[in-house]
Formats: sequence, structure tokens, C-alpha cells
Amino acid sequence: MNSKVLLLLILIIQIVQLSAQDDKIGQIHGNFGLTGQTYMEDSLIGAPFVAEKYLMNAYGNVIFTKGNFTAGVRFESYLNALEGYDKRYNGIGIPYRFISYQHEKLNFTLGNFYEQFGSGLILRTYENQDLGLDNSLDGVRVIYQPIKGITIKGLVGKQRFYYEHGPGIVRGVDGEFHINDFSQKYSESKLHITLGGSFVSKFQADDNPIYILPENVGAGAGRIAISSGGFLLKGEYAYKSQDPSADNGYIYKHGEALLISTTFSKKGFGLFLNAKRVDNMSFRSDRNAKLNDLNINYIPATAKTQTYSLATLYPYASQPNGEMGAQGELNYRVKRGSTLGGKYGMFLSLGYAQVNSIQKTILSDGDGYTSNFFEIGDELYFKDLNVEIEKKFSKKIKGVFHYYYQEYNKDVLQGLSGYGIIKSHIAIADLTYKIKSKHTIRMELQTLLTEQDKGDWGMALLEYSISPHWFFTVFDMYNFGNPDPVKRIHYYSGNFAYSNKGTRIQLGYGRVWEGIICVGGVCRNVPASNGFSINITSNF
Amino acid sequence: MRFKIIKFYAITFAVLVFSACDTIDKPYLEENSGKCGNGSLSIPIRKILLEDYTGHTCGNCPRAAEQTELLIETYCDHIIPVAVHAGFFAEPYVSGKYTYDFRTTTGYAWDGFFGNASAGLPNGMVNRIEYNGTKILAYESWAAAVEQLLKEPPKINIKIENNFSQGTRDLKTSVDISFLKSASEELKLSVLIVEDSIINWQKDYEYVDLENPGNTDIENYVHRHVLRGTINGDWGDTIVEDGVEQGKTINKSFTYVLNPEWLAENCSVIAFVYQDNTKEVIQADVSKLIE
Amino acid sequence: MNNYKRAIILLISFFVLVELQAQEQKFKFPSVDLKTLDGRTFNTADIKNVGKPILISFWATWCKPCIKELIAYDEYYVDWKEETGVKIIIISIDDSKSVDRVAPFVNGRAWEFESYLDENSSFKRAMNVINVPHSFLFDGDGKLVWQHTSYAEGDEDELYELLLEISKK
Repeated sequence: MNSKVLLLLILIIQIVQLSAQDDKIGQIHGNFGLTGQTYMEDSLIGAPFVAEKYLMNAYGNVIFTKGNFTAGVRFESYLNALEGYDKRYNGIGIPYRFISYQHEKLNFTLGNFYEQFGSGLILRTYENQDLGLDNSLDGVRVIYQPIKGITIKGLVGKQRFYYEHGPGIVRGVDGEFHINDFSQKYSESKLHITLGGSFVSKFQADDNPIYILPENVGAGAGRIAISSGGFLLKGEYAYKSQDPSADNGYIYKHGEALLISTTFSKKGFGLFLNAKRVDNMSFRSDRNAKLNDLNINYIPATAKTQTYSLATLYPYASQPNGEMGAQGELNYRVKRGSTLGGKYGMFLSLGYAQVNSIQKTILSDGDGYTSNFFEIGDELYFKDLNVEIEKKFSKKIKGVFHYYYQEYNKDVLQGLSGYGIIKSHIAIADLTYKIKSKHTIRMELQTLLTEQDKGDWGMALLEYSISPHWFFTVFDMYNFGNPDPVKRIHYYSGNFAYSNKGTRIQLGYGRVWEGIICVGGVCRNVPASNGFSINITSNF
Repeated sequence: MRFKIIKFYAITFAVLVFSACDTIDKPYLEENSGKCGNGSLSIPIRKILLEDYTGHTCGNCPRAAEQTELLIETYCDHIIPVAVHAGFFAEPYVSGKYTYDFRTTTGYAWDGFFGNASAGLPNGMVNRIEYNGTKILAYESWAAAVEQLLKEPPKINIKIENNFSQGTRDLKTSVDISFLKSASEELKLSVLIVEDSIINWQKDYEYVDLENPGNTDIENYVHRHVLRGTINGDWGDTIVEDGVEQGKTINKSFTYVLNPEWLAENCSVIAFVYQDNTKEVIQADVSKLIE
Repeated sequence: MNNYKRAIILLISFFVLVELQAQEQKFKFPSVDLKTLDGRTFNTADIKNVGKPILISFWATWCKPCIKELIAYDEYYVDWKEETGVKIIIISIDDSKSVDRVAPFVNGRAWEFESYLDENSSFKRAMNVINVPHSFLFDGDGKLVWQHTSYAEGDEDELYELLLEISKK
């Protein structure tokens, strides 16, 4: 074992040294990430006893490129997985590896790959380490670009399922045509048109003794994008054949989805509008998979992505079984020197999003229900009105002010019952004060006011940064309005981080509140925790 | 040339779309021949341990309990059910409803090892086998896993004999294990106590309360097959070290004192033999304390 | 345990050596297809700024520190371009949920950077980026001379010093 290790080390040194001098040998790049936390039992916040006391997730990617050839590998280790992650991640493994070759107009990939067709309505494989999400396809993908403006993709594979594969085989083909590139008539036109069509089918054997299940389920989608100057119009329609699954309660209805969006922008002004309808579009490579396992497609949520803690207390997640929504956002820059804009100008953003259920006429047979395409359902799922003002007051002070009004249907969105709609007003002030060159202090003050659920919250954060390497943060979230006086708790945290080039190390201590993740008919509890944490990321 | 490519793609696409999906016509149900197994016959049958990981505040869990009852109805003695109350949704409240503690140290140990609560409840295991890449199965997959297991004949025959004294609450259990086929791995025996029909609160999101619409708390829910504990430890005893020949019989005896709060007439002993390296259950059996 | 220790030593030495190697050679951009703000396709292998520095910054419309960083770059871009010829390319990792917000956002702020959309994070993965913001600086010879994650007010001063340094060569 000793000699093998030494030999491997010498081999690596040789490759690395040679490649440093001669480009022809190839390049190696990669990254490394680690998150660890200690868990102390804390009955006040409900932090449970964790037998291991210390949990850690870690991973490392290595990509090797030489000429037209690329190979990559990812090691993952969960010893054991952090709370909030599925425990089936426990262990060490290489769940991601691929070889890819570009030959003239053809690109082959063998192994694990991530891909998206259109907006992802019928196929999107991606990963998000923080959420413990990875539905990569393991198989073969071919991308063919015969002439400029035409891209045709074909793929087949099985999806990643922790350290195994899901049972279903996924096949797909996608074609995208940018008319301007190959049509003489439109090549000089200011109007750009892109057309796309995709088809995905999955095969899973019928092992169910009660139902006769379709083994091949197909989904097709067509899309168009038209742009001219600062104007863009996009649309995509998807259709899915019979797919009885645990998500839709084993009904034989087909599924469909429609996404339309339009944006208009010019200097100092931007407008975005989008509308969506989803009807029975859950699509997994195991019809009995739950939560975030084995999704083939991705239904984008019709809501603004929020990052401030109190604005994400009630987050919207798309409902593949049926939803209908629309959202809009306006960005406007008030000119410098004007009365409202002041010396430095001001930034205004106004947005609104609302999602409702779809209309359903329940049927008594296996088809489930019928739904009128143009009718919006009566039940409100989510509403978000947001106003943002960004202003620089002086050379030293700038601030961003937010106001949100949210309505959140906790019963539907978390798969619970009896909570109703949570209506909350949220106000946030994010101020930055430059003390002197390189030293800046940032303060966040947030409040969430609601009469339902856990009541009012307040949050204060202070971050001191010393450019370019140091960050010190302390914050506290206080549930001062909880109807139960015992539960009016402070959730405080402090951390400091050091960042240099591609590496960042953060150490902290905190009390984190609990959360529940619910998707479909299954809920997972992310328990409250109290402990020290370490987070390291590095890129090489 | 360019448009030829588009035409070719469009035609292939259309062909794919219209030919590559299966369409099932009504009615959508299989012709069920029924596989009701009879455990009292002299020919041994395969008995499958069906574990349902659940919790009394888990409003979706009654669906899994209903599936367990459906499987018992369909497969009869082939199914040995256990409900393991573990995780956040099994935690008792300090006051009001849901103060009963259904949890066990064994349930905690098993959940810690297999990760059921973290995978989202309800879920379960069928003989702890790996099916479609995982041991943790959604209740919709249980029937399919049972069907797959029933294709193989039993390798072991287990017979439990209970001798329970009502007055002293002493239980003497004798477990006979006969090997119908030889084995070459380490095998362990686990013996559990299960109590049926415990009446207490349960959350059910699909509860239809005519007097109080919207109410999801069921006051007198019948909790079935509740795991109460083990007689021989969380992971049982080793009965075969590295192999055993066909035809051999092993006997294990245990003594146990029944908790005064449990109703003896509702209690049963479950014994199952499993392979230690994979944790897969080879055979199981159940017997009531009082016949 | 011994094997475990050996594996760790091997791993650490591997990373150190690769890090050293990375600083020596010209960076070869992975070939990934991105979209421009008006829907055309752009391949990342075509990124170049002959003889002049390139700054690539990964961001998203929901990433507050990224926006602060780009506002800072925007303030100095005209001057930096004049003095050093630098080209700033910003890559948005907004997925289909927020990708349509990118063009109104960038144009609303009148940013002059070359802007691309990496909707499924393919380029982000190929460049081994973990979190945003993450910026890379390449000199006129195509070598990777600097990168940083996180953004603190005043980081642009350090960047400016570097730009002057590398453009003098």
C-alpha cells in the first residue's frame, strides 16, 4: 500500500510539473467545500440530542482538461450528514464522474452530467449542495451543432439517488434553432427569433399489483423566444402523458404547463412580467419518490427570490400538482441631481407576485379531475408585494430599504392543516457605513409583523468588514410576538470569516430556529440547533 | 440545407411524441388473484416484516397505516406489521393533546441507523430490503416490494411459543428456528413486543369531522401494531456465526416482565431472523401473548 | 487508520501541487454555451481580450454582496478601461425562476459590462465556483492572477492595484 501511494504521488507530481511548463499536457482545476457543526441539546428551542455530537458534510471536485478532452470527478463525504439532510447521504462515495470529448461539431459526455431543456419544464438536472439536491443523470449525452444557430441534444441515463440510481431510465432529445443564424432573410434583422422543441420519456417497470401502470411516460415541450432591442418575449408549453404517481395520488390524467414572460429594458428602466399555469406536472424517474428525490423536471416558482432572513420565513415553493400565477417587477433609476434622486441618484424597485390553485372538477374515476385551462382556482397559495428603495446618502453612508407584504397559505405550501393563510408585513433596512478606508460596518434591521402562526419577529445584524480579508458578523432573531410567552426566544449567532483568493474560512456559533420542509404528502423536520460551525470553501 | 435539418428534426420529434408513451385504458386496475397466505398450514410460508415509521402528529401518516391494513387484507399471514414511532412527529407535547409517548429506545436506534425520519414521514421498510435503490420505501411501493419477496420460497421457519402468567406478568417465550435452506453468513435473531389497538390522539389531514369541519385531531384513534420494545436488545442476538446447514434447528428462550401499563391481551411477540451484513430480514413470525 | 492518514497526506499534497501548477500556465476556458441578454448563444471558449486583462464575475440578481461588488465596478469601469484596457464580463447564475429578471436589472442600472446568462450553472460548475460572488482576474497573457469570493467594501481598491500591476507588464 505504501509503495502504491508513493508511486501515485510521484506520478501526480510529474504530471503537474510537466503541465505547468507545457500547455499540451493539460490542466487540473477543482474545488473543495466543507461544513461542520456541533450539536448541543437545548430544550428551550427544541434542539434534540444528536448522538454523533459533531456532523460534517464535505466534497471535492477535480476537473482535468487536455485539448478536447475533459474528465471530472466529485468525492462526497457525509460523516454523518448534517441535520436537515437525508441520512441516506451518510458515508463516503464518488457519486459524480464523467468523461467528455469535443470532436468538431459533436460533443460526447459519458458518465454524470447536468442538463436543462428550455426553462426546465420537462427536464432539468442540477445540483445545490446547500439543499442536498442532486438529480444528475448518469449515462450518455451527445450535443450536435451542425451549423451555427442549430443545437441538437440527445441523452439517456438513470438519475442519481444518493449513492445509487433511481429505477427509471430517462431519455430525451432537444433541438434549438436560432433563425437569424441560418436564414438569409433574417440574418441582418434586429428581430431575433429562437425556436426550440424537446421530448423526454422515462421508463419504469410496472411492479404494482393493484394498478396497471404505464411503463413509458412521455413529455414534450415547445418554446419560442423573440427579442428586439430591449424587448424580449418568451413562451414555453409542455405536455405530459399519463403518469400515475405518489405525487398526484395515482390518477391517470395527463399533465400540462405553460410559461409566458416578457421583459422590456432600456437605460435606467426595466420591466418584467410573467404568467404561469401548471397542471399535474410532477415528473420523476421513480413514481413513488418523495420530497426532492429523483425529479426529472423543474417548475420555477412564481415568486421573487428573497435572501433576507425574515423575508424567507415563509418561502414559496412551486406546486407541480397545480398552480396558476403571475408576477411583475419594475426597476427604475431616479436620476442624479433630481429632487428625489439627490446627489447620487436612487434606485426603485416595485414588484408583485400572486399564485392561486387551478380550478378542478373532481371525477369519481381514475382520471382524477378535469381543469378548465383559462380559469384561475379560488384558493390563494401565495401573494408577495415588494417595494425596494436603494439610496446612497453620502460618500460614507448608503442604504437599501425594503417593504414586503406577504400572504402565505401554510396549509398547502407545507402540507399541513389548520394554519390557514399567514399574512405578514415585513420591513427591512440595510445600511452600510464606511468608517474609514477598508473598514466598513453594515447593519440590518428587520421586522415581520403578523397575527398568525408564531407572531411577530425582529432581527438585527451587524457586520464589520475589513477589506479584503476579514468579516465579523453578529445577529439575533427575536420572536417577540409569539402567542406563547415561553417561546419568545432569541436566536442569536456570531461568526467571523477570512477570505483570501479562492479560499474562504468561516467559524461561528449560533442558535438556529427549526424549520419544516414539506413536498407533496411528506414532511421532513429540520430541527433547531445550538452549536459551533465551521465552513470552508476553496477553489484551485 | 438548414431547413432540411429542421424538417428532419421535426418529423423525428413528432414520431417520438406520438409513439413513445403508453396509454392505459379504463379500468386501470389489475385483475387481482389474491395471495392471502395461511400461516397455520403445515407448509411454511414467507412472512414479511412490514415496518411503518410514523408519529402521532404526522398528519399524512394515517395514509400509510391504511396501506398496512390493506396489505394485511390482501396478503393475510404473509404480513407481519410493526409501527415504529420515531422522530420529530412522534415527540410528545408537554400538555393538552398528544402527550402520550409512543417512542422506544429501539425505535430511536433503528431510525438513527436507517434514517427514516430524515427521509420524511410517512415511510417504511419491507423486510429491510433495498428496493429501487433504497431501504426506505414510500407506502405506495410496499405492495410491489412484497410481491417481489413472495416470488421466493421461505428459507427459514420460525415458531414462537408464549407462556404468559397474568398475575406476575412474567413472560416465557420460546423461539424455534429451523433452516429450510443452508446459509453462509452471520444471522441474528430479534425478538420484539408489540401492542395493538392503543387508543389515543392522532393527527390526520384528511379527517372529515362533520361536527367540527377543519378539525384534524382525532381523539380516539386506534393505533395498531405499536412497537413497545425488544426482549433481546436493539439489534438482537447472533444465532449463526458464519454458516449453518440445511435442516438444522436452533431454539432460543427468553424471559421478560411485561410493563404494567400495557394491555396483555393486545400484546404479541414478533421474532425475526436477519442477515447481519445487509440487515435484510429472512423470515419473521408473530404470536399473541394470550391465545 | 494508517491508510486513512496516507490518503489525507496524498490529498493535501495533490491540492498544493495543483495550486502551484495553476499559477504557472495560461488558463484555458472550458467550452460552455451561454446566452446573451437578447437570446443569442455565446461559447465561453471564445472569451478573449487580446493582450489586455479580463475580469470575470459570477453573480445573481438575488445576491446582495454581488450587486454591491458590481455597483463598485460600475463606478470605476470607465476609468479602468481607459487606464488598463480591462474587459469586465459578468455571468449571471439566475436559474429559470429569476433569469428573466437579469436583463431589466442590468439595463435598469445601465451597466456596461459584457453580460451572459448561465441558466443551469454549467459555466459556474466548469469554473469550480461554489458560491457567488466569485471573481477571476486574468492578465493579458491569459494567466489567472487573482480570484476572490465574498465582497467587502473597498475590495475594488485592491483590484485596481492589481490591474495597474498586470497592465504594466
